[in-house]
Amino acid sequence: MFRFAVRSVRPVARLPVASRFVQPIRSYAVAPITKDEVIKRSFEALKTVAALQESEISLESSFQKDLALDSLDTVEALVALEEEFDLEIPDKISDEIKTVGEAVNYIFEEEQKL
Amino acid sequence: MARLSGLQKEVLRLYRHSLRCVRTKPEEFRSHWKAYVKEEFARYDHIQKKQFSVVEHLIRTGHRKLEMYSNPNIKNIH
Amino acid sequence: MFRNLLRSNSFAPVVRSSARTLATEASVPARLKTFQIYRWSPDTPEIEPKMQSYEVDLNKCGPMVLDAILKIKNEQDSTLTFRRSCREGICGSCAMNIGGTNTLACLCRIDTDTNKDLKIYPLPHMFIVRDLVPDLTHFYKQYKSIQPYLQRETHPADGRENLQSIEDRAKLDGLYECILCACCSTSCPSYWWNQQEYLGPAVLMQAYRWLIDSRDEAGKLRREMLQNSMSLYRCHTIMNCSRTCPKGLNPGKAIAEIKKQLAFD
Repeated sequence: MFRFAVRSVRPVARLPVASRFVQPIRSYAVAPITKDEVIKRSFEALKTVAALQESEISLESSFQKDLALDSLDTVEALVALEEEFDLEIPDKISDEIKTVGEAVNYIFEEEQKL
Repeated sequence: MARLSGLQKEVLRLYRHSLRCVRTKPEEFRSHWKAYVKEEFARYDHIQKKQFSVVEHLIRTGHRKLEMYSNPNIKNIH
Repeated sequence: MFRNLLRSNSFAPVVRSSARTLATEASVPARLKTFQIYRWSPDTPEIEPKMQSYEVDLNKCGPMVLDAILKIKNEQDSTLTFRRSCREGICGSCAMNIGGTNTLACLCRIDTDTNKDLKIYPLPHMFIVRDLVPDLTHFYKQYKSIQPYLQRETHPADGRENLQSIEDRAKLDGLYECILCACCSTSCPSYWWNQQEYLGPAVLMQAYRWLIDSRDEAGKLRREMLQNSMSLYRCHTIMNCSRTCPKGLNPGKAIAEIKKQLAFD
C-alpha cells in the first residue's frame, strides 16, 4: 500500500513543477530521493517476492548465499526492484548483481541521474 | 555459486524479460501471468546445463512465446 | 498386327486371374512397405529425435505418401504429427523430405518396391515444432518483408480493377502458382547457412513476381530493398530450388532475372 502511494506522488509532483520554470535549469521541487528511502522501499519490494517473505534482509545479504535464492529467484527479486523504482536494470549489470546492497547502490545512482 | 555460462545467462535474460512483460498486462490478471511464467520455467527444472541443444531449443521457443504473448491484445491467461 | 496379337493373347489370362481374385480376396499376399519416420516431441526435449518404423500394406492404402502417413496416424499411432490440408497439392501444408527430396506428401507416389524402406524427415535445416512439423515463422516473416501486395499511387478513374494487357499478365505465369510450401528454400544450402539474412528462393521468386507486375508502381523501392549483399546475392545458382519444386516452377530463373534487373540500376 505505502509503496504505491509513494510511487504515484513523485512523478506527478515533478512534472508540472519542472514545466513551470521558464529557464531550462533542473530544479527539484521534491528533494532528490535519499539513500535511506531507496533502502526502505527496496526492502519492502523484496518482501513481496515469494521466496523472500520470511527472510531477514540486510544490505550485506547475498541473494544466493544468504537468502538461499536460486538464479531465477534472484532475477525475480531484481525485477521486483525494477518495478518499485520504475526503471530497467540492463542485462549486463543485472547479471553481476550479487547482494541487496549492490542492487540498492545501482538504483540510488540511477535515481541521482534523473 | 559457479560462474554462469553464456547459455545460462540467456535463460535468466528470457526469465527477466518475461517477468517484465507481466507488468504490461492488466493489473487484475498479473498474478495469472506470473504463475504461468514460473510454471513454464519450472517445467524444465530437470534439464542439465550440459544439454545444450535442449536448452537452446527451449530458449528459442520461449522467446517466440514471449513475443506472441507480448501482444497487448492478449490480456489474460489461464 | 503384332500388337493386336499380343493383346488378344494376354486377354484370356487376365480374365482368369481377376476371377480368382474375386473368389479368394483375402488370400492376396500383403505388400508390406516399411516407412521410417522422424519423431521428436517438444514435451520431452531431452529425448533425442529418433526414426520410428511403421509397416503399411500397400494393397490397403492409397497411392500417395500422404495416404500412407494418414493411414499410420489413423490405425497405428495417433501421436504422429504432420501438417496436411488439401491433399491435392494446392495448400502446401504437407511439405516434407521424402526419400531425400523435399516435396509435398500428397503429390508424391509411394515407391511400390517393398524391399526398400521409405524415409520421411521434416524439411531440412528448419527448427522443428514436433515430428514432421517445421517452424515456418521466419519464412513467413521474410515473405512479409518483401511487401507481397500491389502498391500504386493512382487508381483507375472508373473505380474498378487495375487493367493489364494479356502480354503483361502472361509474365506472371510460372510465378503466381507458387504455394509457399518452402520446399525450395529449405533445399538451398545458401538458405541453410544464412537463413537470417538471405531471403531464399521462394521469397525471392515472389519478390520478382511483384517486380514485373505491370500494375505495381513500387518497383524502385522493391529493388532498393534487395540491393545488399545478403538478401539476394547469396544465391549462387546451385539450382536445388528448381529441381525440387513440387509445382514444377523455376525459382532459380526468377532470381537470375532479378539479378539482371538490378545490374541495370
